[in-house]
Amino acid sequence: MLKPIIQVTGLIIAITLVAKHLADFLGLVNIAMIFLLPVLFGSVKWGLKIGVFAALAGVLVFDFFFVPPVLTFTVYDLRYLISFGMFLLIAFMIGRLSTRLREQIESSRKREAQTSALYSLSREIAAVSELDVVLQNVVRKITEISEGQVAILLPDNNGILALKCCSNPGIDPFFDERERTVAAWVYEHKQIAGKGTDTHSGVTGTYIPLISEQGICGVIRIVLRNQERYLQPEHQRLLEAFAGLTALAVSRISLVETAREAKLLSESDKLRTALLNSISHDLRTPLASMIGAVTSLLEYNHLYDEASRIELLQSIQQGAMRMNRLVNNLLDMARLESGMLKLNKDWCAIEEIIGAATKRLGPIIKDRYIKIDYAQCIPLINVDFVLIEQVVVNLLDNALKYSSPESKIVMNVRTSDKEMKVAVHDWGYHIPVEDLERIFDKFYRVRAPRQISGTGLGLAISKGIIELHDGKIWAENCPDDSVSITFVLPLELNAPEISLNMGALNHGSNR
Amino acid sequence: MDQTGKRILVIDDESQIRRLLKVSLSAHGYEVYEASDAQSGISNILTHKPDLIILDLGLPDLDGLDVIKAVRDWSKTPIIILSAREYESEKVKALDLGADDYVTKPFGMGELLARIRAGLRHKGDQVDQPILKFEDLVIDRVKRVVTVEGKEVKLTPTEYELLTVLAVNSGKVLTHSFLLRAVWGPHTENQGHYLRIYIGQIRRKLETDLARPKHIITEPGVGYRLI
Repeated sequence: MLKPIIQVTGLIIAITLVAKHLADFLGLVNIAMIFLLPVLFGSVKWGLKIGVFAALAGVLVFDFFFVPPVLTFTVYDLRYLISFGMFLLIAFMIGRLSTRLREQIESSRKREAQTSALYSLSREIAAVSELDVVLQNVVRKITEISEGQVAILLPDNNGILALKCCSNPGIDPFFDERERTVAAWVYEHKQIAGKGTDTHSGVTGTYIPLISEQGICGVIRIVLRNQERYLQPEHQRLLEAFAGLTALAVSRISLVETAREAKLLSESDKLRTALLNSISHDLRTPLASMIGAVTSLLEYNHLYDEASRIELLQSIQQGAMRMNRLVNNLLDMARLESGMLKLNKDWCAIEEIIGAATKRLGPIIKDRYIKIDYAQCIPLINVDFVLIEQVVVNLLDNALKYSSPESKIVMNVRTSDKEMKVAVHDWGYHIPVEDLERIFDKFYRVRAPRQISGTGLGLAISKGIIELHDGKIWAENCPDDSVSITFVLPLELNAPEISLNMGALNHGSNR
Repeated sequence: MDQTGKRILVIDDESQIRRLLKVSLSAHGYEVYEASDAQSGISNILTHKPDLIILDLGLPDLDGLDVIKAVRDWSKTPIIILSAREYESEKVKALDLGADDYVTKPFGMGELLARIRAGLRHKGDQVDQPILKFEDLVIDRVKRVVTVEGKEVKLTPTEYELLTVLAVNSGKVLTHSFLLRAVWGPHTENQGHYLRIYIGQIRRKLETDLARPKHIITEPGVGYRLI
């Protein structure tokens, strides 16, 4: 307050000095006009009070130094009093107008800052789908703008408010039992309360409810360092806008979560239906052939010659094998999905895994030409032997099923510094482009020109196993007209290596 | 070797499995006894003194592993485990506790009979044999020479050692840790990659089709078996 008065006074003194020298030249009317300058200057810069001060000081100085009799406050001509009155009136008007102008500029500047703060916050939290990140952004922004402490309270699973995010990590020292009660009150009544408001103003924090279309979703607590700000309505409006934005973000995220849950639910519903369809078909078909064959053998044994008896027995065997495969697949899938599958990692040679897989496939693979092409040096991989063998079995089984019996199957094993790549190529039906990813979904099966038995689980299980090993698996239609499914496993540094002799590169076999 | 009349005890709580084994094994000339739980199984061992035990790991009253421990305290009767596919670690535990072999359910009768024959063969039977023959593979332990289809195969001393351990116990599964101990000595159980590398090298020298090994069979997650 003192500095503007000194400055205005200084200005008046300077004007007085200058005007005194030029009094004859300027004339009294112009000098009076010049004394309006400090009024304008003061009120624009510091507001109405300084303007009024400048006007009064101006009138007194003008009267004292310029209006005859000079150096007294008395005037000869009483008409000067009208001039003084007019001067004061004009000065007052100037002061008021310029002050208002100043306020308008200031408030528009403030509004702009608030708008940009709100805008940047809304942009920051719109793209994020994690609640914690959103809350941290909100808290940081409000802390920046309002220079205080900010905390967000959201209801937990039991509907009780709990501190979710806070501007100063650790325990909020102000957050005692009374504060908690006010927070709960705000949550219940959906009204602002606390310091600076009409309700519960005795506590240290201001509590603003987070209200969105879905209803109240939490409470935001603000403690301002600058106590005056509590009284500024535009600041309160800003905080309310922040609260609205936060509420929107929180409810958006909870909606996203609800949608995700709903999707999961409908997916598991779909899965159950698919499972039932698939299982009932895949279990009943072999069961039907087995029960049929067994009952014929038991009841009409005398009707059959040796050859038909063996045929019936073989159909029982095939049916049982098929059911065994299905049950194994279902168990594997269940173990993968429940997270119960624990990797039993050890150093393994991929050729051994492939050998075990081809052995397990046994009779189905015996009549097919399978070429296995190894790279020069194959490091050992640290994997679960049994599970990776299962993957190879599934891929080979797929290749066998989806290609004609006389076509070949090629396996490529390649290694780089970081990974081992195993690809199984067959020359069967191409996979439609839109199905290339979906074939790894549970129970999803490509529509093949002929009926191919299977559960639609093999590739899903393979994918699950490979991903457990931090690897990747994908399908491709290759330029050489083959269809390949490739998996990549990460190699560990300093993996022990097996070097192959020259000439032992390709271990193919022909029937 | 004639094995007819050998006594086999089946300990399994599933009556269907017992019935199947009783019928099939009897048909092959074995004398079959049955027990549906661990307690009666153990008392059966005492009364009937079987030559071989077929034991299901999932019994109602006692863990199959405990049965192995109890039996191994006082008996060397060969034990063949019946177990489900996904329990490799159980199989290894059972084998390390002294079980002789395992068959995974569901199993083919041929496979089980092969295990029984290998199990009934006296443990030391082949230790003293100077020449071990496995179709085209012949191991002459006097001259320390290995031939495949009559052609000599050069093996390093470690490779030869490993092959002989497998050959002496032919037909039986040998766990990784057993092989490591037998060839590389104690405290080498976590050096699994030695075994992988040496098996790979031996196979490369012996097997005609590496993709489908004929002699050294990998038992996934458990060990190796030479046939």
